[in-house]
Amino acid sequence: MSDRPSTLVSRFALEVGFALLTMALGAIVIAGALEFSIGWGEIGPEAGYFPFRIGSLIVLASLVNLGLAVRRRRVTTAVSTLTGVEARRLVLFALPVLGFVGVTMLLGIYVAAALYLLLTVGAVARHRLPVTLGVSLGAPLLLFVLFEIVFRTPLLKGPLEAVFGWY
Amino acid sequence: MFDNLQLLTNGFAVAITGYHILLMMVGVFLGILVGVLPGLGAPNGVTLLMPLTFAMNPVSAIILLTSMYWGALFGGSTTSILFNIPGEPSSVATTFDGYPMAKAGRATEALTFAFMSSGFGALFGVAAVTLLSSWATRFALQFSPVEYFAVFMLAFGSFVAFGGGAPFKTIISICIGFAFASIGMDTVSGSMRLTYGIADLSRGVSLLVVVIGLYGIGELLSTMQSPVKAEAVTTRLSPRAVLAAARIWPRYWIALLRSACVGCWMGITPGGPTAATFMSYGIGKRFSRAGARFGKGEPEGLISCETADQASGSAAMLPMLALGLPSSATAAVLLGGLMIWGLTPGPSLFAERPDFVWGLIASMYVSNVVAVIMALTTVPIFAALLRVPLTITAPLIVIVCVVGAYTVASNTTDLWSVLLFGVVGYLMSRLEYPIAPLVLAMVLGDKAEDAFRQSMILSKGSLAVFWSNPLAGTVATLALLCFALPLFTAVWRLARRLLGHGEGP
Repeated sequence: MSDRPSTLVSRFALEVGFALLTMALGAIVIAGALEFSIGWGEIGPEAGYFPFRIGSLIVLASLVNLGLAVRRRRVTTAVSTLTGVEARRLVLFALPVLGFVGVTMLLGIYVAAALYLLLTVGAVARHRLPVTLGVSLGAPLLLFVLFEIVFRTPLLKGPLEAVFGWY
Repeated sequence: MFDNLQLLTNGFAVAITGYHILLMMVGVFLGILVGVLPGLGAPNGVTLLMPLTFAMNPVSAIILLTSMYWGALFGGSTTSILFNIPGEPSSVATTFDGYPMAKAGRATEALTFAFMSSGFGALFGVAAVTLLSSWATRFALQFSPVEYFAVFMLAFGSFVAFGGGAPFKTIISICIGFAFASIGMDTVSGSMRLTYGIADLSRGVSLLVVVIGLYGIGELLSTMQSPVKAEAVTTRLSPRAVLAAARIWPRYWIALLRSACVGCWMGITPGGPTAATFMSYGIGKRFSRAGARFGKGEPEGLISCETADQASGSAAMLPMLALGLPSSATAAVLLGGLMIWGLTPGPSLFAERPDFVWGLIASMYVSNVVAVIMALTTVPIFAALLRVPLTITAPLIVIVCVVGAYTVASNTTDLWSVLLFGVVGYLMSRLEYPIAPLVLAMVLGDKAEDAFRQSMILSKGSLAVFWSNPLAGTVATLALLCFALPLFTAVWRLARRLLGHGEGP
């Protein structure tokens, strides 16, 4: 028992949590369907007919999944889906991603990508400086050439590109 | 049948141009790339490339995208054999015999067998498509909304019955896909459904964004949580060893034919490549003389999976083109692409756009040969690529996914949606909720609902319409049986336990 890595989230907890989440989603779908008539109109099923039944099915199937999860709890509470070490790795990966998308809104994709790579390849993973610089400057440049010039599919740009006359 | 050959000849005239061969090579190369890299696979590789094809002519676009699909199926095998890491779900069975072969010093043989068998399976599948297409379109012409709805239900039923996941998790996945599909404008009444007054929801949820999130970001999160160290057995292929292996490869003709037939069957009926590989492997194990050695590095086991994998992938084009029924997640994405290009799959597509349909079919012959050659020659490149640390490739893949999500509609909200769906995809794969049914339901949702409503209008509200003729009745009954199968097995288990045969819960 003691050599097992510290469990942060057990399989049981995650199963229950996700079943509750899908159940809530089903309820939202039902609520949305109820804005319309869910029965039969003059020309067959009305707008709410299909979504209402889909929503109800989601709630029912979630209940079954919840029941199954509870029935297996004796086994699954001991099974880890996320240990402390894994959680740390996930957070270290996910936070920069969030930051990347956030900064993209302000500075455009190219600059945000360069900063994101500097952070992850350089600061988090601690690769050597030449590698870090090569990847974090090379990749956005390559993207720029590919999308702005080759494919002519402009991506989101920010103030830096505007300085050089690219909008 | 003779007409088909004539049409196929015309198709070759469309498909074989310098430009298209170049597209095939680019597509196959990118396909192998996404097949090899973690977090990228056939469904979202095709999705990421799709926005760039909107400006292309549809024939060129579909050649590029399908070539990518074939390439991804090949690339998935490379990592399975050399690294014991299945790059694609359909390559899981390839690891059973491929990796032991590579460990025993037979990597070159394993790769050669895998690629040549894949190529054979693909050509067999395309030949089946060629021969069956006029029959399939005639068959599809008899379809009214009633039959269409029954066939859609059978497709989803077969996921529940044979998909391998927990039945109620599969049902959740299907229903969430349907719910996503109904967000936005209702095609019949014109009202805005499930938008809750949020402006961004009124244009609906983009299939492409969902696929990039669920498959791309979701898989990356899973990979980052517990990274697998990629250690190749060997990466050098000597041309002489390849030729030597190619010479003994035809000895496995029985396994090749058997697996190609299984693959075609699973590709045409909604089963998908993953189910095809496991079924082919299982059948080989039971009926082949070499069956006892399966799983210990037996070439026939490897050949069984690879042939069936690729045969089902190419045979799946038949129901996709003739009925608008995709049997895998990638085919579903391609179907979404067809609709974006303004092409409606079905018998009318064969009649109105023979250049598109037959150009695609002809290109499949050529691109799979291109794929075999490229897969064999690029093994060292991709094996080297896999040695690049994940701390560099993972952020790059994140950027590719975010860029891909932006190119879908140049909408910044999509960037957040892709992350949200990434978390959902991560949770789904942690808890073994299947993702493919969700994608399929999203693509087919509107069509299924329309078919249902039209059927109900025809019958004035009676569900008996689904049993009003033998064709619809058979399909509808099969669909119901599929949905009920898990229930039967549950009752069966309970009965056994009550009778005292079981070994407890």
